[in-house]
Amino acid sequence: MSSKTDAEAKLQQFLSKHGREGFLKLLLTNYLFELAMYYLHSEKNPAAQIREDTGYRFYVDSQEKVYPPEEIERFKNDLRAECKKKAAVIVENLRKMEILDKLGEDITQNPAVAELVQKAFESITQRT
Amino acid sequence: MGTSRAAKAPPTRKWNAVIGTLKSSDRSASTVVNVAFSVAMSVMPSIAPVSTPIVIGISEGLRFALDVKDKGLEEATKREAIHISETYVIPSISDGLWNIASNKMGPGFSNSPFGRLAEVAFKKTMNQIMSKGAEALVEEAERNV
Repeated sequence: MSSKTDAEAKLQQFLSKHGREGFLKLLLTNYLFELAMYYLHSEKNPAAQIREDTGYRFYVDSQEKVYPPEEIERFKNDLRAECKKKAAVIVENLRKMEILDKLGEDITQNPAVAELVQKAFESITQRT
Repeated sequence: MGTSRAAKAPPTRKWNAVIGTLKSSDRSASTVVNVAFSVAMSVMPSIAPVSTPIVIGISEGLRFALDVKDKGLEEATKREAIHISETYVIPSISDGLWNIASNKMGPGFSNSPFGRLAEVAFKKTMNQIMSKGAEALVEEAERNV
């Protein structure tokens, strides 16, 4: 069980070593991975002529054989690595926009910065 | 009776291309992610529903982390009026921080599917950082070697 002192020391250690860019990379990687898993576990949508469950195809190949657990795990790790690349692109865009320093402020009070961050986020559709 | 909580596929025939990438005999994570994000975002009028919850989470998390660095945990949690559980120190801080972010973005965002995903990612990140320190990102790098 962690104490307050441990939590404080670990947080300070993280920031000293990786800075705010490291914080952003980790949080964005975690979010993009959740987002990818959400979409890749979606159901069919007959109204849009999607007649297969995406979630089914995540675990079963085109020969209707279930992927072995270790292969599914490896695929998830690979997906996570791809999300990490996309997170790095977003952070790089934020750095170029020179707004990394402003992200520790209350972003809801600064619409101009909020808009730039949204713009940086659009890069998730770029091929990486 | 089914109890699935999965969302429906995005409302476009183009989503069949994503299923195609998953069915490919040599499926590639890179292709799957690139095609999935591209098709999913193409049917959204703007990126805001996807980005707003996590952007506000970033702002709250970073603000808190910098406050801890400058003033210490005790002062930072006092300023944010976060109640720390003696038994579950780290999860209670992550939870308190997300409640603040959630109030700022409002229920329209926080209760949306993307708000829920952002909540999971936010709490996981804060828990990783406060329990593992610098190793949280090193572990991430090693996982992908």
